[in-house]
Amino acid sequence: MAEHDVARRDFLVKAAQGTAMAATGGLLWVYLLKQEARAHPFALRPPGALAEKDFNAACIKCGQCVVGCPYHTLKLSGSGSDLPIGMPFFEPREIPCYLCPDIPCMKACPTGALSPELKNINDSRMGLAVIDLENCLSWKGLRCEICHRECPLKGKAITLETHPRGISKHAMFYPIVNSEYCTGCGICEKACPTTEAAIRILPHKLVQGKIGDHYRLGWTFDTEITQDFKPSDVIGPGEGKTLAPGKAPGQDYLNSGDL
Amino acid sequence: MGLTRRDFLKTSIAASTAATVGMPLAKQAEAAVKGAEAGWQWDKSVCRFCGTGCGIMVATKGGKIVATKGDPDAPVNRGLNCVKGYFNGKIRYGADRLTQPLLRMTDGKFDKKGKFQPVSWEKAIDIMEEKMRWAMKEKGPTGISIFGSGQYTIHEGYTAAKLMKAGFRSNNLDPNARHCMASAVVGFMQTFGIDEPQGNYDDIEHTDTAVLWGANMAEMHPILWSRITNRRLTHKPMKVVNLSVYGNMSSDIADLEIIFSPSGDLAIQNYIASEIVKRDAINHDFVKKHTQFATGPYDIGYGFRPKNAEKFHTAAEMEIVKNEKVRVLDKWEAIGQRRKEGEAVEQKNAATPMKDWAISFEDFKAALEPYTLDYTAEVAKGDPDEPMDKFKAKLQQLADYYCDKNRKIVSYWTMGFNQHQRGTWVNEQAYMNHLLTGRQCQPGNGAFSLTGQPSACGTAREVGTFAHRLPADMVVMNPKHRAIAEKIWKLPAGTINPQMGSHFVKIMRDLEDGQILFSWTQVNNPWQNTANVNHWIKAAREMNNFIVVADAYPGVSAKVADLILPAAMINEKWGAYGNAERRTQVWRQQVLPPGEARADIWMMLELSKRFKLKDVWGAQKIPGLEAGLPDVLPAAQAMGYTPESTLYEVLFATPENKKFKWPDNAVAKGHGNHVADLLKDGWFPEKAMFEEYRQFGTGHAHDLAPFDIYHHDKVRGLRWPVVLKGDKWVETQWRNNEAYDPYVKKGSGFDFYGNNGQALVMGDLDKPGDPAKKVDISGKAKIYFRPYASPVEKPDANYDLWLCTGRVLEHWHSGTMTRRVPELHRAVPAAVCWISQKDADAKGLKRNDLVWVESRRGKVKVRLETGGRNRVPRGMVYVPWFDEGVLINKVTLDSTCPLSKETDYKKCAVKVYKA
Amino acid sequence: MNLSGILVSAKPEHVMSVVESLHALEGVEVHQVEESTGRVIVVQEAEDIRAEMAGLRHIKTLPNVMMAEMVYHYIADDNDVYEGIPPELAEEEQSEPCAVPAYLHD
Repeated sequence: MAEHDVARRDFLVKAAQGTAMAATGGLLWVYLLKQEARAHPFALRPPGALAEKDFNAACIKCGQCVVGCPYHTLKLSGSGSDLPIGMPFFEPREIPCYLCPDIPCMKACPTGALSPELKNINDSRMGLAVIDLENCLSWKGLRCEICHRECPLKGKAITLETHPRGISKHAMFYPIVNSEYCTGCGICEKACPTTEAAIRILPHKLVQGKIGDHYRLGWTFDTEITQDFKPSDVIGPGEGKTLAPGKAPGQDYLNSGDL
Repeated sequence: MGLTRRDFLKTSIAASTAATVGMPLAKQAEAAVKGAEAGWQWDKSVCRFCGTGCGIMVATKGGKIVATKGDPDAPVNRGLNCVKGYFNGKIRYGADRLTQPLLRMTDGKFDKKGKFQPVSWEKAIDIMEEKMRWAMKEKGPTGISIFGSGQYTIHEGYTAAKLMKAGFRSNNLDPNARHCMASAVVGFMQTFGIDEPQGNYDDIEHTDTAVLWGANMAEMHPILWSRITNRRLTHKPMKVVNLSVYGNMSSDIADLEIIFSPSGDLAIQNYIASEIVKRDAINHDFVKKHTQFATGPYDIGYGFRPKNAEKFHTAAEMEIVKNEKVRVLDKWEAIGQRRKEGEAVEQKNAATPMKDWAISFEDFKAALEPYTLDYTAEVAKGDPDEPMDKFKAKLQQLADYYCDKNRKIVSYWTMGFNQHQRGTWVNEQAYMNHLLTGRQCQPGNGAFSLTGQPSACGTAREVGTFAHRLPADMVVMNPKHRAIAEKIWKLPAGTINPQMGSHFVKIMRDLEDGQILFSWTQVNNPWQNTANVNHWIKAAREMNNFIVVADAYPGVSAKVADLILPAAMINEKWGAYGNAERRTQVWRQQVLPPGEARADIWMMLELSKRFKLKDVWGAQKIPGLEAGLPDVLPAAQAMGYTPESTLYEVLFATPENKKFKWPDNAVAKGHGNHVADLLKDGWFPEKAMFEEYRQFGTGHAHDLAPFDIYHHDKVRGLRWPVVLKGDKWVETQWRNNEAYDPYVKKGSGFDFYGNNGQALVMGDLDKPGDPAKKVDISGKAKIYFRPYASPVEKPDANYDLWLCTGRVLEHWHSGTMTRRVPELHRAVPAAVCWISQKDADAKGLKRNDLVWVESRRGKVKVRLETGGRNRVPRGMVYVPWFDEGVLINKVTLDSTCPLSKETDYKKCAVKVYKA
Repeated sequence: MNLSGILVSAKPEHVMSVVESLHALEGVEVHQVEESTGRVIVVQEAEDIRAEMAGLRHIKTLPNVMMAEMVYHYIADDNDVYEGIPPELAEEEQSEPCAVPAYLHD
């Protein structure tokens, strides 16, 4: 009972650090993520890997990329894991991708599963770094920012945002990941000093949202007025059709019940 | 067992409910925390690492450190830490922590070529005694030495100084702080006659401008940097300027980044001064009342071996070392020094670089004339790919900041200035510009020398663990100072050796040429931290000498030692550190050292029991001191000592010191003291040594509060001088300023009392004049003219790149502690060599390639980095020194500032090629 | 399975007697009590919405209760989902409440 209480209170302490919604939201997110992980086994693939479906088709499980990797970053999935057997992947917390400029893994690939289209290693997109804001030392106000300093594309893939902090006279330095540049090499995940890494590489699909096509951010596109109506925008004579009775929109509601 | 899933969901719902209605969870949370922390004992302490001096709280339970946190009440850091500080609690627990004395032996006997074997403490101290007696018999007091530290506790440093200077009558005690801020010290002493910054960290919240001169504060003083950043973000006029020889993290929030050439800072400072003069931004009233113009000789050499250099250096090395005798001036230094290009200048003042004399303002003005914008930009532009007009515009902007009378300005520097072949000069130039404009010692205004180590100020400087120093800014060469020390230490007159001892690099050279036969290393790693280390490793291993290294972990120095002593670490002993803003902070012993590890102070006290007065206080021969040291035994007997009295009785466990009893629960509050417990004679050595040390500074503007005051629960360190006002101990925020400093003469406004009683001979720019004509500089600071001087070794066709070395945020110094913290090691496992992409391309090299970095002195293998935190300009590489696997000090040049004897780790010539 | 987080208010002087009556109710757990303001957080577990609302009404009728409002409401239509919260989450809750690595505690 006592132990149970401690654990429960511990949760309360943590919950107190966020708002009610954040606590619950986080909970569900983690839950869904784990479900997702089970349902669709994912792995971080070597630089230049085709989209997962095409990669699965093209990879002949020859292991040449693993042999070609000078840092022993790449591994082949074995039996018993929830990944398809024999395909290359890497776990950044163990050994990240060190972004060899000559991309030896890709050169070793006989089938193009690791696409030779990749000319510059910095253009590879193996995954995307995601920061756990609740457990990141820098977001808590400590001067850590190891991920920022260790990032091979420091200042691009990971930038620092500084914010004043009135109460203590010590500014905050928030690391921010920019997907435009992040290669997913995982050097940040490897370097993160928290007991469990507070920055991790995940497949883009699992973390990236998408803004609807129906809206454009006002500051990102040209907002000049363009007066070029075309004739097709005008309703011509006789184009309106008569709908069958009872099919006009709103008719059901308008005719139902009493006022 | 943990929660069931159902319980878990319920708990989260309860928490969400409470949070939604705004019901504070504080009480529950507090109760929960208290429950989890049952039996934890929190106590105040200080961060082990840099000179910032952040306060931390340490929790212990069951004899272990279970947690640390930033101390929210500490004014320096207000509860925050950097990532090194975050791991304070784990530095003690590395797997290879040394726990037993280890001696090189063969067949149970000491053998210099033998293998390390565990021995008892008794045997360890036996062999130390034997070897010290041998060294002193062969060479006298100068045959022994101690490498001390800026990471000594105040008590340890004081004990070491007294043991060496009063006991063994040897001044061969010098700290690694020599490598770190000796130039700052000489700059202070020459300019103000008293050491250490007048301002403090509160300047940050008062100023409008922070100018960094060779100080990458973003990485090296992370917590101070967050204060500067906060000021930058919240105070509109605030500007940050980063002057450096390569682009670094501090540029990220800087308004102005100026990449200058190695030693170009000397020219830039003079350019600013010439603009101040030209635009009449001088504070005439301040300059007239409080300053005196001065200068000194330029032909002062480069701090190489003064004699027999050929015997110890290779031919390749001699290409550079020969400059110690004669320097052929290049175009730029010829202009800056008003001489001719190609002139061969004999370095006549290499042995007397400290000489100085007064000059007139007219002379001072004339000396600045060559430092035009055109000249300065040519000399100082550091990035070959930057357009000249852009660089000039930046210099002008910088001069505008210094000339703007309405702008408050603080200049910060660390190793960029201090580790410099003209380190003392460039320190003095910083004061020049602040004094000319009257902006020193005021809130938000001042030249502020940051420090690297946690107690470089508190111990190395204030206690005086340097080869020339005594406590409270006194020096062994001054008979009055020796007399004061002899009085407080109760020594017969003439006990203290009047000849300056060997500084850090010279101790290494003395080991190499057999002048020193016994060396003891405490709290630092000399065989990793000293430049041109191939020489010193060879000297330690191949000469007939005895090397003792006390350390917590096996580093390079332990590896070259003959005897290794396992040392206690920070929270395993009582201690005190003094940070860069003169703040003295203390901690209690929290846990016992592991195994047989012991505090350094205990080692020294135990050793002191082995020597009697008759062993050390008789007449002694000192090379270079014709009369030698007098026999003071008769005088000692008259004072009540006997020749059989041990150094322990005479210097340490004296009747006065034994009045400080252990246990002392009023201050200990249940904490232990393994040193007192082992000594078993009922006194409290740390408290006694601190109280005795305090006598030196009291009444001399170095006043400290009593030991117990610092240990008071509410006190978070005090900035000296700390004086008693009524019943309160009051610290001093800004020294030399009447509004704050009790030592300033009333009505003076500002009073540089450190120079009281001093006088300078009047002269011109080239030489001192009539020795009879002196100007009194009491109460005044000196404004020095110092010229541009080129680096002694510059890249050429063969060695085509500059090498600059330094630190990274994640690791402390030589990495013996931080590389034992798995998380920090994982974060930055190895040193890399930063190179510009253009240089890499030109050499056919790419990122991650394994390369050799080679100089005239040695080479190391390292991986290349073209991106990341440092942006080196074309023509330069940067390698940090924390990694013993990349022992970059095999490559660096052991040229020092001739005044401060501090090594220049920031510039030498190398080549880089594929390994 | 329905779970609800309910805020119960009472006069501060009566709060302990209210807590006692709450304890006596089946399916109701008292999670937090703020004596100074008389506020109590309870979590109620009920079979369905009907039972959930009945339970809330019952709490409102308890002596000395001034107000009881449902603040948080959770419906688990699918029992599997409810029981299916991954064990990893429960495991996480066993970790120490501070950032000290486990090996410092042994």
